[in-house]
Amino acid sequence: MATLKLNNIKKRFGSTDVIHGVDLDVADGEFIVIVGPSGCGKSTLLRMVAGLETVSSGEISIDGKRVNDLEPMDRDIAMVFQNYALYPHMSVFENISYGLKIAKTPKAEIAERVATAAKMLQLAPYLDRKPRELSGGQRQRVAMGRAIVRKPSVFLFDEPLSNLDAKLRVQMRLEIKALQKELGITSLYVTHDQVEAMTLADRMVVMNGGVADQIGAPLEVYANPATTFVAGFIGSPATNFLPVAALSSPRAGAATIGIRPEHARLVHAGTGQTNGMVKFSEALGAETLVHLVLPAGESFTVRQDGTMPCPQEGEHCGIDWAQDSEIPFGADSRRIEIP
Amino acid sequence: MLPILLLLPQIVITAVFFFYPAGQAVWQSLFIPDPFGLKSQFVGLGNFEYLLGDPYYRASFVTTAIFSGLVTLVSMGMALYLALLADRLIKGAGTYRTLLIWPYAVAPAVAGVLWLFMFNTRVGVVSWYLGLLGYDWNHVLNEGEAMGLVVAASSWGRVSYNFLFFLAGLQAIPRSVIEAAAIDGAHFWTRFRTIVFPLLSPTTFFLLVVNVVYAFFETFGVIHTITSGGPQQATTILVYKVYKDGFVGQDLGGSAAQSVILLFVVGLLTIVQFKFIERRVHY
Amino acid sequence: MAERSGMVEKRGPGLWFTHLGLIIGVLIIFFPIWLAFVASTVTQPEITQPPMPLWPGDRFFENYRDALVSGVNAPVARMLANSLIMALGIAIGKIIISLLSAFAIVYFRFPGRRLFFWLIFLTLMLPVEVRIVPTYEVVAGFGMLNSYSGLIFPLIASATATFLFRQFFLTVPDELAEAARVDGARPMRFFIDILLPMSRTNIAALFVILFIYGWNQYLWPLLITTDPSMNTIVMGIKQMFPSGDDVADWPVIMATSILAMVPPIVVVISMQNLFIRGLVDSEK
Repeated sequence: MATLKLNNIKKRFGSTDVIHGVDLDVADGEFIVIVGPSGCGKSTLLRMVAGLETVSSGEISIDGKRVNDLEPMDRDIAMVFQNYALYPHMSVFENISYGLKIAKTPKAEIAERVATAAKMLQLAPYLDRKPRELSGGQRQRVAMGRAIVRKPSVFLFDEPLSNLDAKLRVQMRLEIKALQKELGITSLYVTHDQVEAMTLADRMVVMNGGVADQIGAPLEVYANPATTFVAGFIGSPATNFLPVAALSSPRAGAATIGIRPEHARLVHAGTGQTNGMVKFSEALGAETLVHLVLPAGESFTVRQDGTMPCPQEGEHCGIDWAQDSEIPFGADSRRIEIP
Repeated sequence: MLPILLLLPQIVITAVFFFYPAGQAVWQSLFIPDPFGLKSQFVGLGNFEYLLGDPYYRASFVTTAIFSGLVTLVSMGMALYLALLADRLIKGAGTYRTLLIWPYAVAPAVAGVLWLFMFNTRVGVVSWYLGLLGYDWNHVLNEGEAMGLVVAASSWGRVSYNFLFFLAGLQAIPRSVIEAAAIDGAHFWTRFRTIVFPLLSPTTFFLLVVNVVYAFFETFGVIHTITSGGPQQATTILVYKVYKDGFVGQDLGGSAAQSVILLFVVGLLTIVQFKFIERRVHY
Repeated sequence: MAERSGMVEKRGPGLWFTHLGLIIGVLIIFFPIWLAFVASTVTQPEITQPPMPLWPGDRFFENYRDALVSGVNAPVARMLANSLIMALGIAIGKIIISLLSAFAIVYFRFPGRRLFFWLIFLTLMLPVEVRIVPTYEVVAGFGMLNSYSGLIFPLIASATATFLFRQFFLTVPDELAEAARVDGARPMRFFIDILLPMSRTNIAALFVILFIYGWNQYLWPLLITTDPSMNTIVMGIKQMFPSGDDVADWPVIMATSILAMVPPIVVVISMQNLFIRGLVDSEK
């Protein structure tokens, strides 16, 4: 159990800055998800916390103790890797217990801790198997088990679910969340999947180009994105952006407005805030996504209930939304508050 | 510190037994020792000039070229023939592979003894039967027969090696490609010429290089056991000449200069091979 | 390997011709070995009055006993032991130093790393035959003539195996090394606990190739073992031929040749799949 604090963390590779100063305070037992597109620096950030990358400047402390110069094993952390990084020649038991063995934990205690972890992860029947004899989900659990038995202060997850198929990913996501709640261990979790971020996080960190654009609770971030990047990245389908110039009336101080697809609806041509032509529709059953193209060439997506009539391709429609659902952004792409 | 410690054994052994001798070879090639071995005289490229003007050395170059050309041709031809046959089998290719792999394990020097025994002018079985047919086999006197014998003995062990690679190469060709050609009406020979052989060309080229290297350097045992370079100089390949001039003739400067020339040959072959491997990556 | 045929499947007479062609090939390849075996089981007069028989005789035990116990210059048993020590020394020695240095090159950043890598590259294809005279002088200078270390060290002084292990280590995911680091394993612990067990098959395949390479050496032992009791079997065979016009003791010589072939053949056949994989990998 511990707190984790990042203070103005920067990372330079040669002359290239990849992380431009990230601050983060993680409370004891909190589940933090770092989300962003590939190349945004999220993995580098995590690896710096793990001690696998050096910190160029700034300070990382775990439970108030500066760990910048400590080896990974001395930081009291455990990590789950993207490809699980299971030792292929070791059995499940040996994989899980390897860290404890190195730490010279007594045999009886190792056996007991592994048994507990295996029970928790439903791995008990597989302890003698080699990783190659396990399914993807089971391997994932072994990787988790290896982290759990260490009883670390902080869990680090580096895209742990990205190698699983969609169905298993949903299941493992739920298991990870439940496990973290049960153990109450402070966790830092990196993913590029915004659904994972939304469902797992107590708070999420949205990273873009080496900068933490926004840190906040998932629904808060969704409702009040701090930048156009966050608005576009979080939520699927993505937020629609319109230049204010394309609207009939000006919006004070704003250069662009964002409208969530679920906040817009189709109306008769000429009666809404703007007009568009239907490019195609995706009927998903419960809902239908209507993709339109606006006169100036922007795309616009409307999410409507599956029971609503579905327009034909090429049909001209009006698009309407309530003005208070607009998310206004200034010329610097940052959100502005409208008084 | 740790990485240097890990490298140390390799560094020391390579420096003492590889780089130092190789450097010595280059250094010695610039000197002629006096007859008592007390002093040596710097002669610059004199040793090289002498060598390149020496008809025996030039003859040895030609001998080496003929020898390695023949070894490569015979061993690869035979191996390709057997691999093509084995590849046609649905069952049993593995059995033949096991049977054909044996000679790889036989040392060139031992192969030399086996072939010497078969063709021995007094007791050899093959030479005796040739005699019955009215052919008087005598590789001790006949230069052509001597060359034929060392080529046969050197190629023999090599067939296994080449067979393994050709078979692996053939089995890597997608079956669908060949079936498509068969449906297009191509007969065996046409299929081989237009499809199989081109697809096999990386393997072929690779084997070409390694077989030349083999014939250059690893056949010393064959030559030494069967002909000792004779009759006259008919089977004195370059490596054999380095040994003979250096150890039997005690001509250190000349032998060192020959080593240096061989160094260049090896270097050239290495470059060819690596260029080729680089290219192969893009296939 | 799945059962398949590269060229379109043959049936009936075509299949028989294929087998026939292969059997002829196998017979040609086998004939020299067969003949040597026959010669090692008959009496000297049966060979010296040609044509010699083509079917084994009844002198198997006598000939092999003669060879192993007394030989011509030295007992062949002694030469077999020398060959075994040399081949094992070369295979094991080279594997150990290569594993260590490949580990250093792949997993550490240190000054001179690139230089070292290029030096390795340089040694890749330079056989001992090319530098025999100066190498002989070095070995003689250390007083290592007629010694096992003299037989072994110059032949492990190349980095082919280092290069192979480097290639293999590069295919091991970085995450594995990182996971071990997080688990608290220091570099040598990672090397012993993780990297070595993972390299098992590569080590075994390389062992086969190096064992045969060492066993089959000829020129080098010929130069540095002047004492018959240090001869290796492969080079010792030639020494058994008399100089001048004396008649060679063919049955003993051929028995020795067979004995010289058996260990590498056993190794190759018994570890065939491993060996083929190692061979095809090592030459790529």
